[in-house]
Amino acid sequence: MRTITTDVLIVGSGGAGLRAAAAAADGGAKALIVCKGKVNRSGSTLLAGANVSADVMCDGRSMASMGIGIGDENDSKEKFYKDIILEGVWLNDRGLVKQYVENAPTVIREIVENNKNLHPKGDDREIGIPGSTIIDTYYKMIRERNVDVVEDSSLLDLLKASDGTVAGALFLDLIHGEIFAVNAKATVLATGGMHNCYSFTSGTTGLVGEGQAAAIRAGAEMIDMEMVTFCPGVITHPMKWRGSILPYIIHTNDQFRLKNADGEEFMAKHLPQSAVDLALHSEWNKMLLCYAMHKEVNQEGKGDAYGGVTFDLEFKDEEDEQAFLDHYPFLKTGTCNEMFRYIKDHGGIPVYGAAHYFDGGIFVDPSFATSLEGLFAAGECTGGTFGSNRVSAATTQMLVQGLEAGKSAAAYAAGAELKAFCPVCLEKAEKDALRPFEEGKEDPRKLKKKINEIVSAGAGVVRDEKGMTEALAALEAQDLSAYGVTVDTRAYNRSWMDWLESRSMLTCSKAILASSLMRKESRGVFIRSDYFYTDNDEYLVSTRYKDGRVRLEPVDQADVPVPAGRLGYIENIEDVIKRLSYS
Amino acid sequence: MKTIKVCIKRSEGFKEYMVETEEGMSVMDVLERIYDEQDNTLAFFRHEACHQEACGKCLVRVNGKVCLACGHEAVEDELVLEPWSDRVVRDLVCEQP
Repeated sequence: MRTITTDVLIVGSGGAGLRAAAAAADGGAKALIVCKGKVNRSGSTLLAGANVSADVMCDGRSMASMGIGIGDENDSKEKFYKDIILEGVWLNDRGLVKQYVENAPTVIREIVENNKNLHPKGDDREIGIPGSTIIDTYYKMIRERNVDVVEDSSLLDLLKASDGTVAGALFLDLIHGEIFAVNAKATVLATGGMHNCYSFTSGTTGLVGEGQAAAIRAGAEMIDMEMVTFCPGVITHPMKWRGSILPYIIHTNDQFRLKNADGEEFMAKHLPQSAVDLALHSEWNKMLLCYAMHKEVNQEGKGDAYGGVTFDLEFKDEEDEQAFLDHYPFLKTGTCNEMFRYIKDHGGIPVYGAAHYFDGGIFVDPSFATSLEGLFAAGECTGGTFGSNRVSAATTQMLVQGLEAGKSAAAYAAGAELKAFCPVCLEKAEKDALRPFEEGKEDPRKLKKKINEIVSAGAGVVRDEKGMTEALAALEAQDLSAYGVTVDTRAYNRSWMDWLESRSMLTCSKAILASSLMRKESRGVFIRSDYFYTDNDEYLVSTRYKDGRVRLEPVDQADVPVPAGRLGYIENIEDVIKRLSYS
Repeated sequence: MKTIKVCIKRSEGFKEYMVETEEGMSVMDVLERIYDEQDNTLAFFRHEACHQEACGKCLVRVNGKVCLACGHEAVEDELVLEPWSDRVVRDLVCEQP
């Protein structure tokens, strides 16, 4: 088998992977990126902010120091830190939040300094820039550092040495069908979210949780896998735009309306007025809007033909519309303009809540080491930073964590030797990947659809014991060996890819459901109809999933006071918002 | 709803499909529908596709013109889909540039 050797292997080429590779190179390591798509055009980063306006955040005082006319001298890192913990409803890993807050200005400065022509819009703590601008910035950085890249290759499994250390990984070159190995002193997973476990997502087609699944198979500990953020303004129709979050990007307080199939606004039916205000006027809109949409569609039965609701824009007059367009100038041209015209011409556009961001993932410490020797992880594939709810930017997360993970991996590699793969592990990983050529005959695409249906029904916006128990049982009943390739070639074999992706999706989905069942409360993005309250006496804990079992680990409650007792889910959000520095 | 004729240049030669389309479907959506409902041996780029004209990887020749499968709305009554380059791997999938 072809084996490439390197000091630091980075899996994934979104913001986290690119930043990690550059940091590893700066740390003196030979770095290699292996990515599923094109190195500078794949993963979640590209679609961040619908690739027109992705938020990148740091504290307002640091932002003011960038010289871009944005920021707030009265803000501080301490305030930013406390706000992130409140936003996460006290579940955040304090060390990861500190690392985020401390390093956020560094990465924003990198972006600003590398894009002299960029005139970012923003406010006290954030600038909005296209996802592709972020990627281009860091792609340039890895090219300047001569980082090696292998594209269009999917992670099959992590490979261990005989002593149990992670010594690299096995990949499939998707285009040509060749299986190859990378032998590395340290490995960084930066594989993004698990979007495609769900039937409706805002992610690219390749985001199936391959990194998380490989980590789980290798025995890594996972954290808060039950926490999934849904984005409320994602297009369901027309088909060509399905998955675009543009409506969410342009939803504003005054002009936007959400309507059911009868053309009625419905927020006030499902949320008290104070929560409606929060949903419309605060960054907490994702979970509140998704909750109201879910109730309207599933409880009231007033969903549209595409299973969602209508996003509409209403302007007072032409001046109002012009001001809106000036505020969102990207709406004036190209596909965004087509979408804007569609909304105007059709009385709105169909939208619904889509699986959008995964707050949980691989457990890491603040050096971004995982629980496995030799393995690091960064960005959305990790968990813990944002606790039960991310309001602050995922783009900042991927960059600060990539930076640290790359540094840590290089330092680790400098003191380590290249270890040979355990021969049994290598043989097993290759044999497992080739199972669909030997076993069942069913099209694995059917399995993907089944998983999507099960997970969407059981682990959606609002969950309950019965639904989750049934979903987990249904996942356990799925048998990969019944599925196989539909065509007997290794070159660009879609059914082989579908089988491999199903395997990752099954592994991740079981972890999501098993972790969900352990949390008998509602908190942040995690909402249960049967436990519709936040319980600070019993559940200031993170869920830890490992080897198929879940345990609860108390979250160290440093620095931010937390009230004792139980409070209704909405009341708790209202209470938390009152505690924020920016409310 | 209308039924369109889609001729795809496979590695073994042209193959014809009749596909029901609706307004707002892209060539990528049409290919997905063919794969889903008629022919699960077809190869076309989709393994890490953005569907939003951002990644630029789903290049295909549509009625003679190279474009992005996700960005070209399938409004024609007849579509001839061919590989965008002569470095074909399988069916519509070419070596990446």
